[in-house]
Amino acid sequence: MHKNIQSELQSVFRKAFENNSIVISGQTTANDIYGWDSLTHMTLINDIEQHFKVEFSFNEVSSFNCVDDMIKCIAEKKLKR
Amino acid sequence: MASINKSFFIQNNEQTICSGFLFWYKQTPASIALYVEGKSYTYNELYIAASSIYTELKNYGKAEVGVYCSNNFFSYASILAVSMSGACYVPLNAKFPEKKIKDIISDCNLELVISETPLQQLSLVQRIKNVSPEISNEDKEIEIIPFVYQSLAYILYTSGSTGLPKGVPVKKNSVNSFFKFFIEKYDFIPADKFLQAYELSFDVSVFSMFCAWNAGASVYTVNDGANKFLDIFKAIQKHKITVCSMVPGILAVMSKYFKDFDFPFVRYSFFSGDALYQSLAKKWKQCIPTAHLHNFYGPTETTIVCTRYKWEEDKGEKESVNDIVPIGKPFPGMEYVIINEKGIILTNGETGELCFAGIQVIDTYCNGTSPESFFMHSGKRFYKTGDWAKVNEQGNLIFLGRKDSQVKINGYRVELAEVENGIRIVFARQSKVIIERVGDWNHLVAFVEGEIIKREEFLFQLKAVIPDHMLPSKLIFVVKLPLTMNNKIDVQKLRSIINA
Repeated sequence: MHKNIQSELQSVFRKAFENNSIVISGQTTANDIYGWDSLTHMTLINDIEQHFKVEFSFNEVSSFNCVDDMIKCIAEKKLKR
Repeated sequence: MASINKSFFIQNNEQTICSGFLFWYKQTPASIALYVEGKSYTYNELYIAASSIYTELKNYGKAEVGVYCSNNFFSYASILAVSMSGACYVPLNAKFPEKKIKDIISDCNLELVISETPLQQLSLVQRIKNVSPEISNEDKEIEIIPFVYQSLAYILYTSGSTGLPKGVPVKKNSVNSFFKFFIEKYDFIPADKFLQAYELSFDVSVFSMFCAWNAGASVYTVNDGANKFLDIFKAIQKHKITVCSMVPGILAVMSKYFKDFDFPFVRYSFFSGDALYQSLAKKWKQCIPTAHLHNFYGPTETTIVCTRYKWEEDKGEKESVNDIVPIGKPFPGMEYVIINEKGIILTNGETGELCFAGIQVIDTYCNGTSPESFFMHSGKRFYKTGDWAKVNEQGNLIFLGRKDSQVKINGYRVELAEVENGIRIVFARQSKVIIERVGDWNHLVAFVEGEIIKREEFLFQLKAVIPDHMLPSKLIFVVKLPLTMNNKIDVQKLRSIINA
């Protein structure tokens, strides 16, 4: 499940940053992607919510330090459905 | 408990803007003055660091000093040190492109730049001395006496219409008059915790730093980075911030999380820098139930902010225009007029360009550029803000947008804020409407946040609240409106999207 989420996340990232060469891993952070600033971060969160049809709370979003954190949170929400 | 009063400022406002800090350093050296990069520094620690930079500055005796800054302890200590020396500081934001930094250095003839580490990009700039003073840990008190005469407190650079940055030199007596307003009107105390999430090249940072230190209070900064918007609200919660100043743009981005926020400890919530929307203010007030929410206004040229509106929900509901909260009345020592396109002064609530005169208005831009921004009236020198405003029956100023946000389309006068408000009412979305000129024709382009809505459907629904001549001819949907470094809506970027 996590691998599928990561693969879908990668397409969300590519769209958000308008860069088709982006390759993400679980350890990817904002420092690894050019243009990942505070506003893009919030845009990316919106895109992820829309794509996976989930809604994050403030505490969840605040705890995202790397892509793995996003994947875990999305997976938990999917399981609860 | 000691406190700074008006007479203290009258005696100490000649040569420096950091008298308040030095006063509290002596009163309460062990209190927290600054929290930055995850570490707290006392008044004593900040004093020691600043005084060691001050000592280094004595070797050069310059009246203008560039401070290469980012959100770190060195930058705050440097700004204090330059203020202690009597010189004015020129923030060179590390995020600025190299060209902008060089343009600024050249425009104000800087000869000295301090930075934490030597700057490669300055090595080729002739006549520039770049120093990186060692910060001392040694606890020794030295006598702080300004050693250069300089009437300016700082020079900030705004984006000029020519593409070259425009220097705004702000005088110490203007800044101290601004401080006096807050000392007289607010009950800030040493236990207060001020949020400082502004870039140091943005003038509202002067409020967050120095108004806190004038009260013996603490300044809490937020780390830069992708999580900055989230970190601002985490910081409010974690440190129990009591004085929270920010631009409205941040609220707009974060409003979806308001349901998760409960900040009963916030005493004051201040806004400036962009239009504050009544609908957003109402929602935010739920998060800060006991706080006073005040909306300020002022271009850099009038020293940070120079008008204030004390917002209350009912009052704001009645007085807001196009959902925009009034900007209130001018500070003491400031006065305004509203003029039409011919420069004639308007009365009776007519709409025109807002102009200010008084102690907080700058004398001129660096190198005397843009003299057309100033004019004389009744023996006073007024600055034209480029903003449209009118006065309501309560005597409060109403901000109606930038001067170029009012256009005639097919002979009809259109206010862009009215179109944006229509979009907010019908779709509950944030938008920015800008004018596209094609030949002699003006067209409206609406940038709307959120998912795409079919054009016919969008315009059909919008027609319910705005007349046909105000309907945008182009719609562009974006996930989020782009913001500038200072978190205001980035109109230039939107224009570049149209032109792309």
